[in-house]
Parts: sequence; C-alpha cells; structure tokens
Amino acid sequence: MRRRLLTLVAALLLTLGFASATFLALRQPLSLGDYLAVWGLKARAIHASGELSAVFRVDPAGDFSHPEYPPLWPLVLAGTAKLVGRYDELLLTLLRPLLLALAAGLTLARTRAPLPARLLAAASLTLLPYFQTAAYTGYAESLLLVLVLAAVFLLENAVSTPFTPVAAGLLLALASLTKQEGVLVLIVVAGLLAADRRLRDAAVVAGIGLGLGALPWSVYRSAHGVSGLADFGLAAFQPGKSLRAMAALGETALLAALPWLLGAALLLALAPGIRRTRRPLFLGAGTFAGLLLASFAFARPDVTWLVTWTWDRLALLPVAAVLPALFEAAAEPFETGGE
Amino acid sequence: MLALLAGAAAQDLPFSDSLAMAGRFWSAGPRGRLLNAPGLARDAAFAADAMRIASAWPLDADAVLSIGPLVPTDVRERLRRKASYVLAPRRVVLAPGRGAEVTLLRSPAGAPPR
Repeated sequence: MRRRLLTLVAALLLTLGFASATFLALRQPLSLGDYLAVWGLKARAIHASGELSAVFRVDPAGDFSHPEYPPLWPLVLAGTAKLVGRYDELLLTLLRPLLLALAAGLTLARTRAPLPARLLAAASLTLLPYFQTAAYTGYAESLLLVLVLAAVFLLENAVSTPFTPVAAGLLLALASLTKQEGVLVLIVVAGLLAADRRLRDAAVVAGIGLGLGALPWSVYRSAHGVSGLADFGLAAFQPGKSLRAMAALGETALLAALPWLLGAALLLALAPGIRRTRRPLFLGAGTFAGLLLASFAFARPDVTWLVTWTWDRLALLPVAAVLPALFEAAAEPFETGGE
Repeated sequence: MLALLAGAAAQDLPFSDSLAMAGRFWSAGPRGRLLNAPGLARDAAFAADAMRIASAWPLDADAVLSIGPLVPTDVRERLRRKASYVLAPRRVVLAPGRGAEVTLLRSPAGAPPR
C-alpha cells in the first residue's frame, strides 16, 4: 500500500515536471540567445540553401555564430522543418518534449532501484533547471544529453553483446557531432573502458566515435578554412585560468549548489553498495567535470565571463548522468535484498 | 525533489499570462509568430523589414547593414544577429552609417561582402 502510494506520488511528480518543461518550451517560438545567434541561424541557412556549407557562409568572419561548432543540432532542426513543410520556430519547439521524454525514459531505465525511486529519478531530470528555462529550448544540450545517456545506458548494461560497443560508439559519434563536449565524453568513456580492461570495447567505441564523429567534422571544417576551437587555443594557455574558473564557479554557483552537494554526499555516505557499484560512473562524471575545468586554462575569452554564461549548461551532463546513482543511494537503506 | 519542484513552480510569468501567450502564438500565422517572438519583438519593425527582404531577394544576394554611430554598440550587434537570422543563408555585413541610421541594402552585384 505504502509502495503504491509512493509510486503514485513519483508518477505525479514526473508528470508535473514533464508538463511544466513542455509548457515552457511550447509557449513561445524559438528565438532567444544562442538559438538566434548560433543554432537557429545555421538551421535556417541549411534549410533555405539545402547545403551544409551554408553554416560557414552566414558569418564568414566567425564573429558570433561559432562556425566551428558541430552541425547535428542545426541539421535536426532543418530536417524537422523540411518534414513539417516550413521553417516554423513554434512547431520546432515540439522537439523539446520529445527529447525530454527520451532523456527521462533513459534515466528511468538506468536507475537500478524499486519503481518509485526510478520514477523519482526521471522526475528529477525533467525538473532540472535546464529544462525549466525557456531560453534553452532551442539549444543543443537536450539532444546531446539524450545521445550521451543512451550510450551510458548501453555500456552500463550488465548484458553486453558484441553490438553494444558499436552502438555506444555510434551514439557518441553523434554526440561529438552535436557539441564539442561530446568528444570529451567519448574520451572519458573510452578511457574508463580501457581502465576496466575492456580494451576491445574501448577501441571500438573510440574508433567509431572519432572516425564517424569528430574526425569527419574536423576535416570538413578545415576544408572550409574554419579552425577547431575559436574560444580555446594552446597560445592562450595559462594554468591560473583554471583556478580563476573554479573561483568564478564558486562565486556563481557554489551557494546554490551547496545544499545539493551536501545532500548527495549524505545519500552516498549511507549507501556503501552504490558507492562501490557506481564507482565508474562517479569517476567518469568527475573526470568529465575536471577536464572541462582544466580546459578553461586554454580559454581565449575572459574566463569569469565564460564560466558565468556556460556553467549551468556544462553541468547538465554530469548531473543528469549521476541522477540514477543518487536515487539508488536513497533507496539502498530501505532495501531488504529482495530486488 | 521539493526544492526542484519549487524551482519549477517559480515561473517567469504568471500561469494565466503564460497560457494567454501560448494561445496567441499557436493561433497566429508563421509571420506573426516570428515577428512577435521574444528574441525579435524588441526590434519588430526592423525584423519585419528583414522578413520582407528575405522573401524578395534571391538566396545568393548578400546584405549590407548600415548602422550609424549614434546607435549603441549592443543594439548594433543585436540588429546584426537578427538580420543574419532572418536573412539566412545570406551574408549580412556591417557598414558604417550616418547618425542613427539603420538600413539594410543589397550588396552590390559582383562585389561580395567581406
């Protein structure tokens, strides 16, 4: 009876989170921030011209559109617009609930706990601030998140087939074609597989991910005279920038994040089993976050500005990835060993 | 969970206003939707001009956006991005204008903007 009530409450929260995020997304046409300057600009260019190279034409000096960014999200927007018959910024908002449902479904599937905890993990994903912010509806992170969560889901699965690393590699190739952070995920995942002595899997994932994702885009981009990382470069390297990035992160986010970090630490302190079984996940999320922080040492723009305007989007991937483990940890003290 | 729920409940607009906004957008036509979209509505007259040009000019006709020195830098950048978005895949190049001038003109044929 109690479990049924918990399940009902969890399902209600999931419904509320999904409905709220969907309503915010569908309330207005895509038009804000980097959608207009980056993603939507390129999508409209591809849609109108039918050519991928149009993404370099609209802003030839690369002043604001980041021509080096991978093209999958603009391609998805333009392709969807072709399917619906016109480039309509309101109809394209429908992609958001679709991607959110996939991400929530993957979170539910990844959580190894009783149903109420699985539903709560999925509900938490839909309630994350990223999905409750209308401005981010046209951004690429939702697609990136779905691709990464799907790859992690496959690799976490206890039953691994020869097809598993191939599919994970393909998903991470697509993630690399969505945002540059996808390449970072690919490197972390391949590294963790290698560290776990799954050398063949690591080679397959890295080979497919780089060979079908990062590499083709790099070649295509270079052929059009566009450099790889406009905001980052070896010449800009200063070790102190990473420290400044941490300070900026602390100033911008620490106060708001502190209760969450303490809560997560408490949950994990009471769940030694999850700490053990989920170690690769925590290691992966930590390494990803560490590499991101380290990358700020190579940043060309002001690091404080960069961190302030990107940290919440950069935090989405690791936070969403560890959500299942947190809800497993919350459920562990109540488990009797039967599940 | 409660904190996340509270965060989601604290919306940027009252629910009734949000609902009315959604109703207006979903009942409008594509042109009205775009002109009134939050990212464009602030410069609706300029966006309307750009939309008219987008439907009239060929796709390979690039544009020159002349903006005078009296127009603040942030507004200049905002207008440039809006023009680029509405006119995509055409190139939009900034050129110095006079006073508070803001005009979108076709780039001279044979002289692609740089």
